[in-house]
Amino acid sequence: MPNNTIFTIARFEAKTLMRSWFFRIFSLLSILFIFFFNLSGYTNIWGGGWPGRLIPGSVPYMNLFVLNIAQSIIAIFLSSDFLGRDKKLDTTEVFYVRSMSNFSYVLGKMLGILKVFFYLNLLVLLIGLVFNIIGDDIRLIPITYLLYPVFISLPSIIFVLGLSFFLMVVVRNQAITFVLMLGLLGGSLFYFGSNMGGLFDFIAFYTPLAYSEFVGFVSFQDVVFLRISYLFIGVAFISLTVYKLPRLHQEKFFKPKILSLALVLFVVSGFLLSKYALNFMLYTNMGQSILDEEKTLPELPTYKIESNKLSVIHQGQTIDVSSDMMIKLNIEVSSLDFLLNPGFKVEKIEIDEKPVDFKQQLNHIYVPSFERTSKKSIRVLMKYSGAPDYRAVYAEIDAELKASISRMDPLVGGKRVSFIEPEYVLLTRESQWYPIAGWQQARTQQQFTRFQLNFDTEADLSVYSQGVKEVLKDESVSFKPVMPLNAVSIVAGRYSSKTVIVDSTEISFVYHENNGEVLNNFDLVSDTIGAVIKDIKDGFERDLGLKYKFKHFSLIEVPLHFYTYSRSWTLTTDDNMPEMVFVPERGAGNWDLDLKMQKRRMQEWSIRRGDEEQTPKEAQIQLFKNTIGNLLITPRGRGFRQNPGVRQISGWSKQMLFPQYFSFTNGIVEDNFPIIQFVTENYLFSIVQGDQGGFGREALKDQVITKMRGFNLQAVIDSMQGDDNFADFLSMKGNQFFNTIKMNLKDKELNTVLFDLFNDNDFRSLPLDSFVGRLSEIAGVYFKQEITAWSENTQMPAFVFGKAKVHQVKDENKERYFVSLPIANKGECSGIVTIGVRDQNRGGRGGGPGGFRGGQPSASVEETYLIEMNGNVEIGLLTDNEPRELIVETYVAENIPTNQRISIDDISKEPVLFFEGKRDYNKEINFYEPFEIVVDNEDSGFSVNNTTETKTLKSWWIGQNNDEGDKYGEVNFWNPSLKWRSILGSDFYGRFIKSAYYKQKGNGDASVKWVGNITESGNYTVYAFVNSIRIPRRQREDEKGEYNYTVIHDDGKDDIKVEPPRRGGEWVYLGDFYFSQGEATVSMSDKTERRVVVADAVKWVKAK
Amino acid sequence: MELQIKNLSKIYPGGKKALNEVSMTIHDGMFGLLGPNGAGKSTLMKILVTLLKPSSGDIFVNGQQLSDHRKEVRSLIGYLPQDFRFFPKLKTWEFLDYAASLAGVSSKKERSLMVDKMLEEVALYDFRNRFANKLSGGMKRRLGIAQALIGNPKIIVVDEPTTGLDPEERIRFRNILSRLTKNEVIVVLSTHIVGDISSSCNQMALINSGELQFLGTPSDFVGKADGHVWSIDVAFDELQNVKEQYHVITSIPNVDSYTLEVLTIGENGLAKYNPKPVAPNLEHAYVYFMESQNFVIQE
Repeated sequence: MPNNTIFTIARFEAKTLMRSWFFRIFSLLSILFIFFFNLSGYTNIWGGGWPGRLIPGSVPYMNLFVLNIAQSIIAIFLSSDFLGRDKKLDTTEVFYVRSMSNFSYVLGKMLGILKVFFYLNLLVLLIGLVFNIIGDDIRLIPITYLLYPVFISLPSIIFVLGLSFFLMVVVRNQAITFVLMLGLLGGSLFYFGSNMGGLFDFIAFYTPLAYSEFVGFVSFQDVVFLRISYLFIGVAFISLTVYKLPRLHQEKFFKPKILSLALVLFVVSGFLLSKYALNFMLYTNMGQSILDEEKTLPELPTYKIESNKLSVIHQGQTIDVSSDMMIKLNIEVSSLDFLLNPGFKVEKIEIDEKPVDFKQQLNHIYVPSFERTSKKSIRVLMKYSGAPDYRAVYAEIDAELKASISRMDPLVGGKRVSFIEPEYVLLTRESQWYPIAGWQQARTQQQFTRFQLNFDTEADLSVYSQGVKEVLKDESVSFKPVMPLNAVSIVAGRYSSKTVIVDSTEISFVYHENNGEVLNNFDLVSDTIGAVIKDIKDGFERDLGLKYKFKHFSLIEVPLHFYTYSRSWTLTTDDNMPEMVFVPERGAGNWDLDLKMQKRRMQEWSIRRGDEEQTPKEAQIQLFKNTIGNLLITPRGRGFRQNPGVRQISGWSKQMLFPQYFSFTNGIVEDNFPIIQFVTENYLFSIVQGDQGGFGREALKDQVITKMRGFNLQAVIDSMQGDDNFADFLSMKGNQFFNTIKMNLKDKELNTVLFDLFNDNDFRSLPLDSFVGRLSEIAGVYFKQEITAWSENTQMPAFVFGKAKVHQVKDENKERYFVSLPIANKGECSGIVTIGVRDQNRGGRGGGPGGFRGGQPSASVEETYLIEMNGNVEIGLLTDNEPRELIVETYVAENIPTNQRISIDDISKEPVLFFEGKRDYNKEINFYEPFEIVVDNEDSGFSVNNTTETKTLKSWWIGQNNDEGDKYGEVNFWNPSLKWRSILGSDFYGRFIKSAYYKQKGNGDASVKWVGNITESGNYTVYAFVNSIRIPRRQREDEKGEYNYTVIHDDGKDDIKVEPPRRGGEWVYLGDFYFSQGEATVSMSDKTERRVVVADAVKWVKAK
Repeated sequence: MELQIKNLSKIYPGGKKALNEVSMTIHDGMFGLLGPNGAGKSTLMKILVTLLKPSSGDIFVNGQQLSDHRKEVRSLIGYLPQDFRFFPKLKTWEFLDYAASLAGVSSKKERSLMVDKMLEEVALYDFRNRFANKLSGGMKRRLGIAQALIGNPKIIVVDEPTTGLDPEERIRFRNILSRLTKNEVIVVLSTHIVGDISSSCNQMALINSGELQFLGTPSDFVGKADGHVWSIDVAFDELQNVKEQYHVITSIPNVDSYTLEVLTIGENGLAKYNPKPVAPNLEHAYVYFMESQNFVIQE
């Protein structure tokens, strides 16, 4: 009985493996790790709490996710061991002479190993199941306990076993096989990663397998294809192992049969993998084809869709739609262009009830001609069916980014931009599920249309959309928005909801019917929640200056796979639709949405701050405010990029409420890329954004200036839309634009003007000319030319700042402080500067959990000034509190960093004639005096000498990591650069670019050199601009240590040791020396007791 | 049972000719395969047990061609290789249980009885729960024969089974094998220890340098040396001279001489020593055979 043979071999193989110490130890360690992770992640024992626990089915997913790496290593060892073990002990022969096929033998061996792993997986799943049951907020999804082992463990183990077996019979060396397999595992994890959609990921580390209670597994087919491919490849290798086994076979035509099996499996898996890869590649092709197709559209809109009555019938995974549009023709046209997702097949188009011919090319629906009447309005009926093709959505987003994974610390969710499933529907604007007017900027500037929606589904689903909802007699649902909208969406699923009325607005929380327990966190405050919401809403609207204009608002839980991308023309993503904000299912591993942990963190902070104990009710209100605040109002700042290629905006999140107040209520129509609309949106956002500060912010702006120098706005728009810094550049230009307008408005507040303008033009797009005209009218300056200059100018202002002085003065019997700062503009155009005074009470980093209500105003006084080209002015500011330092923002200028601190040395009590504002300054503001020769690190006289020798693997590795591409790096506190690296900072010396070089301390082999050109022989005093970088250290005392300078002069050379200042930078005297005409050199070595050494500037001052 | 070997040759990939046109027929009972080290015995045995493929020639088992009926033939075979060790992680009884399962004994109960019986037969019952790597050398050989015998194989091939065993173990081993021959079983015993064959085999073959030198019964083989073994007494100073001329099998020192057993091939020439004929045994015959080969080659 061949089956008996297989099971016999499997039984004894398993027994042998179970007794292997390697297996026992490795398995035990894995189980212990998983057990303790479960203990800390799913229980309150250590007060931990992993937010991913809230994801449905996360327990088996996470446990197997971790186990799979460990068991792959074990499998590699065991499988490479088994043939080696047989060979070594010469035991094989007594089994080889037994009556069994080679296939039975190898299969038995493999089943034996699988059996062992089955028990291991079972144990890990059982551990998870226990925690799943005892965890009070963890969802138990039974099917996941079956599917995760099949999707994660089985294909990985079979693949590893198969390939290891095969390598072992071919290479016949256990060590080489082991190394090769570990190399493959490492390559899959760290080199290939999620490239090509995780095509090379045989251990499912990058495969999207997160489960949703709304839609189950998404990209199910892709995942199945990928995992089956690995399973088949594994079996194919096992077949080849059988083929290559050094034992005479005992069946007729055995070799051809086994080879054919391997071949068929390779072909099938190759086909599946190439289908998967092809799908990935189609991202690129489809996106580019759509962009190309959109270039054929009219440059300007030829018509406006005034109204659109959409009737949607939901049938399984498709919808049938009838779109009944009233169209107002702008100009004399005889053709029409629409945009509609290519996943929908248009069945017919009627114009004024007459069928017309049309062409459907990708997302472009083209009606070449139709019978014109004298009417300016026509009625267009379009019928189509299908489902959005996700490859066509977000056409201009980089394919690599689209194919990258959506990691949920560390689980992986699939990315879906829309859903039409038998039990769930989510359609938003980006998926182009309804036709819009086709023109080149149609996607960047959406028209306001009066929508009406009818939705009919056979499934028992709760449906949400914009406007007033009505259930019709035929059980279909109708929505009638009371105002025109620039986006309309449908959400239908197994939902429950909770609604409160605040200021006559219906505010709802719409959640999956199984997730009602989230409301338990607020069970004590159901009577007061309306007042709390009103409080939050009023606060936000007060800060922003705009009112909520819709009659409904819903926070809707959507599948955790729903994914949106930020765009280069707006801050709004599809996580916001009019009247609704989408929040990922059960938080999707987001720390801010883990209410249990939020509650605990709040309590900890409260104890740490010594706050009075809150009542349970107060605590719930606080939790609600924090959660809603962090989610919708002022999101917590992120210190790192969570997703590559995604623009990082401090104080911003996809769920932020802000777009409800501008992006869905107003618009500005522009002929081309919506620059003014974008900068306006950014400006309004900056009103509520608050100052988040922190590392990275300055560096990002400086990076933008460095990169975009020499380009004007139009050139940037034309050529750099895909660049990471594109939106940041627009945003910076926008700040400059609005601050320029702000100065011209004089007695009017810019914000008030803008709010009035937008309030007067709710739910319609304002033509650019109207927008500019209105601003010009109020300011008395015709802005059109300013805008043209602003967008076309490549020149930049360049500011020089004199010494800031502070005087204590009496202003109407009140003690105040007068701050004066001389500024000159040495650039090729005028520019603006914002000066803020930071006093002793402001600007510190806020305590507490941060995020909502964490922001503080950064300066007590803040003013913006226009500094004309060649201007030489003095700015005067009065402040009530003692100033600590000045913050200067130079916007798009030659100055880097754009945001600088100017320290205040002392406060004078000498009487002074104080003033507020700007006045001419009669002294020339220069960087240096005529009798000074200064060489800065940006000058040609400065050079660095790096030691190229790499002594250890560690230093080589560190050196690799330090070798960054950007011109200016950031100081790496934990791992300082081994080579001289240029860095930016307010405290450094520099004409416009305040920069220096730094490196990790060395033995003196590396050095820098300043070479000055002495024009006249004589005695000179030599100074060095000496800086220190404070490295955060555990001990509080300051670092000690000197820098080593060498001055070469006519009488020889002098070595001078200099102790850097405790903070900031200053000119330090090196000595008086005689220099003849010609080159004079000062050098500095990297030898110091400090952790790093900083090189900035040197000057030779001629003795008077 | 009948095992028919026809014109069997084996040339290894390196060009070494291990077997050359070997033909023989083996019937029930114990068959001794004698030959010096490297003669081709192990190669022949590996071909017999389907571990190696011959370069040419055929083997027929009960008339069935081996190369076409490996499955059936394997079900008849029990094999103990020359250098045999065990999975260290299996206990003695487990190893036999494994072997019995592979030999087709599917009933657990039957297997259990069989394992116990076999363990008793090879005197390992008391060590049934000991891991194989904890057994002594003799115990391991016994376990080796036990795994070859379990499942009642009809063709048992044992390669140099007594090497390294003490006399008591060797006798025990021979006895186990001898008992099997009552059950229409072929036992092919390869050895270079002549005593193993003389005490148990009813058929034998001698292989040297891949060639079949003799095939027949041990008595026939011994008969070949009849008239060629002599006992002589020689003085001390003549011993060296005799050793140079004749093959001395034994030399026993006396008070004033040596009593030697010498082998003569071709001309006797021993007359001056007053030779007395000695009845040859298998060892004499083996030496005679090997020496006569050398003689022929020298001639």
